[in-house]
Amino acid sequence: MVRQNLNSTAVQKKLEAELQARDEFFSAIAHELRNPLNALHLTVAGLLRAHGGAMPLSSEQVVARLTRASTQVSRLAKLVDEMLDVSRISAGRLILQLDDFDASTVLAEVVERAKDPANASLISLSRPPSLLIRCDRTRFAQIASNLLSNAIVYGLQRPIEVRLDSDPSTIRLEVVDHGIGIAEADQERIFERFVKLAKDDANVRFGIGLWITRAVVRALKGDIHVASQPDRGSTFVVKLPKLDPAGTPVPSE
Amino acid sequence: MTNGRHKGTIMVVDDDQGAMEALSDILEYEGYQVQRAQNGLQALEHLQTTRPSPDLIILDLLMPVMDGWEFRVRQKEDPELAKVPVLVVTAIAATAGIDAVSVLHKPVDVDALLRTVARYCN
Repeated sequence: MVRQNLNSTAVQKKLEAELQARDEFFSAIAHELRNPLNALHLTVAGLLRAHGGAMPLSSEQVVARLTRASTQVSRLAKLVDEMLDVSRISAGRLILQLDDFDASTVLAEVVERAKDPANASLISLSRPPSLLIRCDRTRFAQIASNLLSNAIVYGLQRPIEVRLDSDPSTIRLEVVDHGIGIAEADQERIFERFVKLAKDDANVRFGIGLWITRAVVRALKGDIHVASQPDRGSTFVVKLPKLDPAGTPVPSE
Repeated sequence: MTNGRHKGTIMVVDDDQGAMEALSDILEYEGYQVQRAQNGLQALEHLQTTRPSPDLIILDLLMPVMDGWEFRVRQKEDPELAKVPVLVVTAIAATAGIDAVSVLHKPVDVDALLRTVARYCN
């Protein structure tokens, strides 16, 4: 009886902690949504003011601003997708759409999309000319894109290497940065849900992207690992099973 | 692109590149000169090495490296920089404890922002 009470107190405490973490997560997401929303709002407001003002913008300036507005819309869409993923994964409702495609081409597209003038020369990609796989194309791109955007954010403007290769049974994707790295004690925690790693409350950042990435990798029957040293950088390795066109694993030799 | 006349100089401190670009566009169009910094430390270094000081600082609060609160503390330690008024623009609701001439929340009301800017720059 005493033990049961102890257990229920422990369970209750765990539930309360989970609930608090979830509340903090939603408040952080609301904050994250406000930034692209604000940038989009300011961009549109700027266009409207200039349109009604004495000095009209050139068509090049208008296009440049519309392009920025479009970037903000993409940021918003990505955050909304992440929220939906959190809810789907939590409810065990992540649905995969398996399809045959060239992983090498899809990865090259992801890398191109991630490039901007500030980082284009830093990112190198090593890949086979083609790598036909059966997988969920969108989810495969999401895994690569999440890892690459983390490498850009935490990479301290140093070189980033993206590599894709395979053996008869496994597809291997590697993203290497030489940035701030992750302390050993945090290396498992970065994959947890609603985790915050920043030391002070003012800079709370929720690493929900890696939790989603790991959930997607696991749904694809693969695994993900990180090797990292503070101030030296991080290497994320994703291994996915090679499936034959019928969707069953290729037996290893 | 400006409306022709130079009205004053504003420093914008925000780590969100999209917000920084869009806000700078609006301010420059209205005739202000804009200095940009991505966090409190960059802002402080720029302010300490550049004279004359800007007429107004538009400050975000949540930023990496040095946040808006710490920036304010450091700014006030320097008698010359302490004179520059600060308008806080932030995505967070809890702004208690920040000392500023005005606090605006993201997404920002542009008319309210330009009214505050005009009060300190004209």
